[in-house]
Amino acid sequence: MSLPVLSINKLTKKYGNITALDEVSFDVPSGSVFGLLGPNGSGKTTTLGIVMDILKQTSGSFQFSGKMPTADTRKNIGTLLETPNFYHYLSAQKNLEIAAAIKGRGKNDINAALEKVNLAHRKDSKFSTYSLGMKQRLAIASCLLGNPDLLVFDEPTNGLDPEGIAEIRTLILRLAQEGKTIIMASHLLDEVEKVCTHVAILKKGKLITAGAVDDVLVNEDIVEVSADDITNLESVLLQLGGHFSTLKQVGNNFQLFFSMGKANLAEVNQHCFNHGIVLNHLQLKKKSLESKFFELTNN
Amino acid sequence: MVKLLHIEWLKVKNYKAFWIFLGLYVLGLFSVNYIAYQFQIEFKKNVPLDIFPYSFPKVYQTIAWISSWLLYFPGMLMILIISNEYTFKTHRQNIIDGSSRRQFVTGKILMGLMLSAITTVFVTLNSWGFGAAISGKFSLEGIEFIGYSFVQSTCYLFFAMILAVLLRRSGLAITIFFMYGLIFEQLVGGIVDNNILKGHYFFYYMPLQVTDMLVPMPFGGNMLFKDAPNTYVLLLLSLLYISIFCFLAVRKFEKEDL
Repeated sequence: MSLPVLSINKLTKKYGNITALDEVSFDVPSGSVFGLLGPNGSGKTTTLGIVMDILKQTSGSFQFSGKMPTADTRKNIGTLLETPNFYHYLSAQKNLEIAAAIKGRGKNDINAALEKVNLAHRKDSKFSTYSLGMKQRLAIASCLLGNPDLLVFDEPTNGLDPEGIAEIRTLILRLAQEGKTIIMASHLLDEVEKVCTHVAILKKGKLITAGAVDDVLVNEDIVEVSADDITNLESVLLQLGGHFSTLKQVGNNFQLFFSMGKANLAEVNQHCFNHGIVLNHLQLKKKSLESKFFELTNN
Repeated sequence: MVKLLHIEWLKVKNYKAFWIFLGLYVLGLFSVNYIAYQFQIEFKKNVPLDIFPYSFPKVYQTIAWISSWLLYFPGMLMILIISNEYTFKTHRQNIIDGSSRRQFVTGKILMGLMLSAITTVFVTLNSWGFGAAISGKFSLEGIEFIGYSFVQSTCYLFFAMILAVLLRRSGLAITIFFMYGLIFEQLVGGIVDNNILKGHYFFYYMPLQVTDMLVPMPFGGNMLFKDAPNTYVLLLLSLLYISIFCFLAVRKFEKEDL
């Protein structure tokens, strides 16, 4: 197996007696779209800031592809951190020329990058005249300079309208298809769900869980049933066999947890009826990722 | 080095405010000397004294001294180009894009040297212009004051740089720069020398004053600065302050969160 593109080891950041990041460790596999998920103030930007040498960690370490990080490593990473940072008095074109010069590249791919984010027609306008969405898209264009293999996006759809959000999502998926590794911090679960293959969830500076999206954010079908004869219902349901993972009593109802797409309402109904129970309530509930996310971050 | 300067050049090349400010400063360098020169002519009609001698060889010292009063303006430019980075958060972006922290701050040090060099070039051109026009000849005698002037402007600019790096906000840095240079250095130096040390032991060694004494007033400067350390000591101390300002700026930028 190839080395992780980014490997974070017990990273800790303290501001006085506030611990913003508490011994966080995770690996970003090569070729993944890695979501860094957490509510505001959970340590997502702090983590990325340390990795980009903007912030100094209190302790812990990180490596890019097994190597200790240097400034030259960052030249081959496209990063949008927190807000688009550009010289207000310069045009988009001139701003990208500075970024390209720092990265040690020519001006050749500036136009292509601006076209990818639909800004080519405004490339000579001053950055100060841009709308929030345009600023965000310019920042993404800057990330694409030099066609880096690793992209780091911190809240990439911030300030964009629904159309812009969809565009960026398509762009990210396309970049992922090209084999690039993408690290994306977001507090929007929906965003992570739609594009990420892997996820790490942070809460108050602590890593709650990390891994493949399918493992971490398991989707479940919940079948909720009820009958007049509650006591017998439970024993009958238990005889249903290994089709469901858990049985939970919620008030006068029972909830059966099935893995996604495996619940069969007719089968449940038939089974209960065959065992002399007449259901007075039978409902399929989809467990939303959102409730899963709250469940993960609230415990 | 060339690459760092190139990046800094890209940042100011299309920055209109920067060029207008710099143009006014260069114009100011000539104008303030022209005013002093006219004053000298009027003054001499009544009193036969050369307060501001604009002929060779004294012209180098006169123009270096008069011009030194305008050093606050390139200092403001220096503060502006550094605090801009903090305001736009481009100091972060430059690092994210692949500058090392040291490269970034070295770029600013090089810009300081460039501004100081520009000042020196125009001080020299003014000296030659005024000198030749008034003396009707050309001479390099006394040109060492151009060198002292370069050391002085570098020290002022790097002092401005360290204020900008420490304070991050242009308004505050510019205010402190002016207040310190024009008032507080003299005030604190005077109080310590007169009340505590009872002699000229402290004021002469303060960071801006030490370079001011490299380029004293052409008339009466020697009387004003009695017991002044000799030029070599002044030069050495000036270079020491310049190094300290650079060291502090690099250290602050390398060690802390940006």
